[in-house]
Amino acid sequence: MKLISDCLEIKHLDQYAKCSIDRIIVSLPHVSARPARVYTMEELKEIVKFAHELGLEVGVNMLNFVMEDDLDKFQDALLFCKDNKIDRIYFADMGVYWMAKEMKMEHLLIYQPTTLIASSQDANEYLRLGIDRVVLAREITFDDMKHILSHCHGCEVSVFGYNVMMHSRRKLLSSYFEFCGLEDRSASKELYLMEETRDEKMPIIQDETGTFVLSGTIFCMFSKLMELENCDFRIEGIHLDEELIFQAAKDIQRILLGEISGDKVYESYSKAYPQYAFSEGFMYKKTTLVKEAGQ
Amino acid sequence: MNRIELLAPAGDLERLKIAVLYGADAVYIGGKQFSLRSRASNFDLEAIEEGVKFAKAHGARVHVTVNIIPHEDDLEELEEYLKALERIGVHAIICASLSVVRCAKRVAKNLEVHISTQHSTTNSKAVDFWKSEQADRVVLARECSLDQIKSVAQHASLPLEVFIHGGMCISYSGRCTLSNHMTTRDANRGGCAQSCRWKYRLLEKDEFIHDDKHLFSMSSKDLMAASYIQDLIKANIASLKIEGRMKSPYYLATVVRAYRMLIDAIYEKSLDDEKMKMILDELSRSENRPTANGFYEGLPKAYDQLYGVNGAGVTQEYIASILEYDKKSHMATIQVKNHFEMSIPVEVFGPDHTHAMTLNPCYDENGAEVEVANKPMQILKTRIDFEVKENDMIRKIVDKSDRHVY
Repeated sequence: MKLISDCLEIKHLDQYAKCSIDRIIVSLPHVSARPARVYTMEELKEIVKFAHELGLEVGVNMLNFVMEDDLDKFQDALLFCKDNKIDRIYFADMGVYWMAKEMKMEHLLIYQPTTLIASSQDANEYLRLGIDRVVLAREITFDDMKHILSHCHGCEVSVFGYNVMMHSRRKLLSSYFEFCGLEDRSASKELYLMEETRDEKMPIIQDETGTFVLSGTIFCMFSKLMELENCDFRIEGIHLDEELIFQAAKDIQRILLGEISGDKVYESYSKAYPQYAFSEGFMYKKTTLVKEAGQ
Repeated sequence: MNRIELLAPAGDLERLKIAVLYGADAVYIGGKQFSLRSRASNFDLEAIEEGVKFAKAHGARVHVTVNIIPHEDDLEELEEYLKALERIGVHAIICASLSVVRCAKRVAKNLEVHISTQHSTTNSKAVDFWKSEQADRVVLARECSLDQIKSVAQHASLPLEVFIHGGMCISYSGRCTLSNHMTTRDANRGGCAQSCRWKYRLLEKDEFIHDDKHLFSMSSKDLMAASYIQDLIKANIASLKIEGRMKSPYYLATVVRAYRMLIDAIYEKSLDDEKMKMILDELSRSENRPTANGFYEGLPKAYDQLYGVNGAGVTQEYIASILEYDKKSHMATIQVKNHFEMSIPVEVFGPDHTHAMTLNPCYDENGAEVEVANKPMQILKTRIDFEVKENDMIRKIVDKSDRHVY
C-alpha cells in the first residue's frame, strides 16, 4: 500500500516524507486539470531532485483533456516526464495513453477518469492496457469498492479530500459576473455555491481549464481503511490546507498500524476542524435512483 | 464519398417512426437495459426489432445506446443482450465502457461499436486508441470548436460523429456527479437530475455576492449548429447527431426535417440565403431552449448561458397530427395534441411540404362541431383542401418576435 497526496508547497517536501507519504502529485500548466497548485517545468525538476532524495516518488497530474492543437504540449510533457525520472503520470484522456504507448512509457500511467472506473470489469480491462494503476470512481459504495479490490490488482482509492463533482470547460463564473454586470471575482479561491433551497456550501473554482464544483464536504474514509486491501490510498489536496493533509496522512498511517480507531478519528475531525464538514460520501449510499415520469 | 449521416434520437417507437419519416438516416434509441436517460429508454427487444424493421424498410439504421458506466453488478446478461441486438439487425451500439466495447467485439462482431461522447474524445490520438480496440466510430466531445473538429477529422483513423443540435451537458460528458450528490440519482447510470440547471446562491467566503434577480446557474443554451453543416461535410465528418431522446414527436419532426432540407440542399448545391433563412426559421420553431453555437466558435460566453429560463421550451404550437386523409372528400382525421380554437391560422407540414391555411371547423366522433379542442388525444375530423398524409402535423402560427428569454 502506498499513500499518495497532491503537493501544495515544495518548501515542505520534507514534511510530506515525514508523514510517510510515498508519492506526491504535482501539477503543470496546460496539461493538468483541477490542480491543487501549479508548478513550472523548471520547478518540477527541482521537486523531483529533492523528492527522490527524501525517498518520495513524484507523480504528475496530466488530467486535462487534450485538444488536437494541444497534442504537442502533452507530448512534450510526457517526454519531459520520461527524461526527468517522473515516477507516475495521472491521465484522463485516452489520447495521453496512446502517446505514452508510442513512447513506450505506458507502464508509468495511472488512469483517473473520475467516473469511468466503477466496476472490476472496467478496472481490469484498462489495466490490461499495460498501465500501472486505475483510480476508482468516488460514487461507488464501500461494498462495491471491496468487491472491486478483491477482483482487481492495481487500484488507487481516494480516501480523503473534496470530491470534484463537475468539470466544465466553460468559464462559468466569468460568464455569470459579466451577465449580471458584477465585478469579476472568478480568480478568488474562496467562492462557494449554495443551491437556493439548501445550505451546503460547495466550493467552485475557475482556472485556465474551466470551472469545477467540489462537494460541500470532505470525503473521509477513515472508518473503513483497515478493511481495504490490495490498493493505494490517495489524499486529494484540492482546496485543503496543507496542515490538514499532513494530519490526515499521519492519522491514516496510525489507523493502518492499529494504533487508533478509524471511527474515533473520523468523529474527532468535526470537533478539531469546525471550519470543514466531513462525510463518508457514497460509501453507504447507492446512487441507483432514476428519474421517473413527472419528476 | 459517403453522404453524411443525419442521426436522430427517439424515446419510443412512435418517435422512431417520425424521425425516419422526416428524414433521419439513422436513429439512436435506448434499450431498457444498459442505457443512460432511463426515462427515455422505452425499448424492449421486441420494440427494438420492430423499430429496426421499420427503419430498414425506409432505408434507415438503428443504433442502440449501451452507454451505462457499469457498477459492480450492472453487467449481468450483457452478452445475451448484445447478441440479441445483433440478431435483430441493430446497426451499431453506442458505448462508453471498455468492458462493453470488448464484450461486443467478442460476442457480436456484426454490431458496429461507436464510442460515446461520455468518453469526451477531443483528439486524434484518442481516436487511434479506439481504433486499436476495433471500434468503428467515435463521437467527439461537445467541447470541440469547429476548427478543432476539422483538425481531429484531418488526422482521425476512424469515422467521427459530432453533435449539431440539442441540449448541452455543462460538464465534460460522463465526468459529472452533481446529480449523484444532489439527488442520489446517478447521472452515469440513467438518473441525471440536471442539477446543473438549478439555481444557486454564490458566496465569497461567507458573503453572498450573487445578483438577487438572477441567481447563479450553470445552465447552457441549447446547441444549434446549422451554420456549420457545410464545414462539417467538407471536413468529412461521418455523422451529425441531434440530441434529445426525451423530446416530443413535434420536436423531432421539425428538427430532423430542417436538417434534412439543409443537408440535401448542400449536396444539391441549391442552398441560398433564402433557403437558409427558411431552415433557421424552421429550427427556431422546435421546442428548444434558446439556442447558441455551443463550442463551435470557441469557448462559450455569458450570452450562451441561461440565467432566466430553465425549461426545455415546450410551446404548445403543435396542435394535431394527421391520422388519415380522404382524397375524395378532402376530410382529414386528426388527433388533438394541444389546446386550440377554430379558424386560427395554422401550418400543415409533412416530411416534404408545408402549407399555411386557416383551420376549418372540426367535428367530433358524433359529427358535432367543436368550438374549442381541449381534450388531448381526441379524434376530430376537419377539411383540408390539399392532400396530406398520416404523420403530417398541424401547428399554430405564432409570432415570437416579442418573446424575451435569456
